[in-house]
Amino acid sequence: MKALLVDDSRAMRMILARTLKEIGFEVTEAGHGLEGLERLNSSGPFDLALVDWNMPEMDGLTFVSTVRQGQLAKDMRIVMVTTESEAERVAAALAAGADEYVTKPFTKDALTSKLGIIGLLVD
Amino acid sequence: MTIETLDLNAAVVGVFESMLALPIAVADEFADAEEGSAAVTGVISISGDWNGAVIVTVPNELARQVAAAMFALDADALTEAEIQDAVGELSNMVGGATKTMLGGSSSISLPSVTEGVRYRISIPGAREVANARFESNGSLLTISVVQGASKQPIASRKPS
Repeated sequence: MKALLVDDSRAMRMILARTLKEIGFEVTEAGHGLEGLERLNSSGPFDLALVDWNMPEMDGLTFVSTVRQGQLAKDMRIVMVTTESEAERVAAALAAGADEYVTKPFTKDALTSKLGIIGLLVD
Repeated sequence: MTIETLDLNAAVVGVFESMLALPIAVADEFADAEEGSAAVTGVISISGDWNGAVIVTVPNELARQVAAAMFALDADALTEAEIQDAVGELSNMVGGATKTMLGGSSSISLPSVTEGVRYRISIPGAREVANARFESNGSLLTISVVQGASKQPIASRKPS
């Protein structure tokens, strides 16, 4: 399976990539939403996108909305991984089309649990 | 809108324990950082119902350990950019938790990171409303929450 990581922090992308690779994903990285859209065009389709909220160029919420409004990755599961933890932010992300939501900081178990919920956990 | 020190402590401990696997302890009695020691500081601005900033200052040695944990690299192999990125992400997580503690509707900025020796971060018009100090592997990590201005932080050299 293929995953797209969209986060402006290279350190966070490294943490997420380690976890995903351990459970069998091939990982592609992007530093912001616009780059994420470019990766979808050039390297997609992906089974999963993990998306930060606050990023330069294009934020995560706009990225999710843009993806869901198009046909490019309509089957891709999207999990927001962000420090934004207020209920209204979670609701906004889900309304925009995210499938799940993980708040930073997170444990590896918390992340893999969410992947299991959306049917992407590889045994 | 207030920040409880216990909540701030829990937020920082949570980051270190869940994401970095580095030891961390509240350091009420820990000695002040050595004057003139090199450090990396990450600043997250909060704007909206509450305006202010969260300032996270990490001594160089600890910043290197934080980056090594995030990048899974030897501390000696890290670049300056990787260390700054790691402290920026650490600040982002602490800043996000602080925003949640404050409630209301606010936004956080992307992190800005400064490093050097004998510098001070100031935000014009702001006053400190909470602070916390932590010890990790013999280094003192400090968190300061300031309120009252939404201007960008200014880094200046301390007088010798």
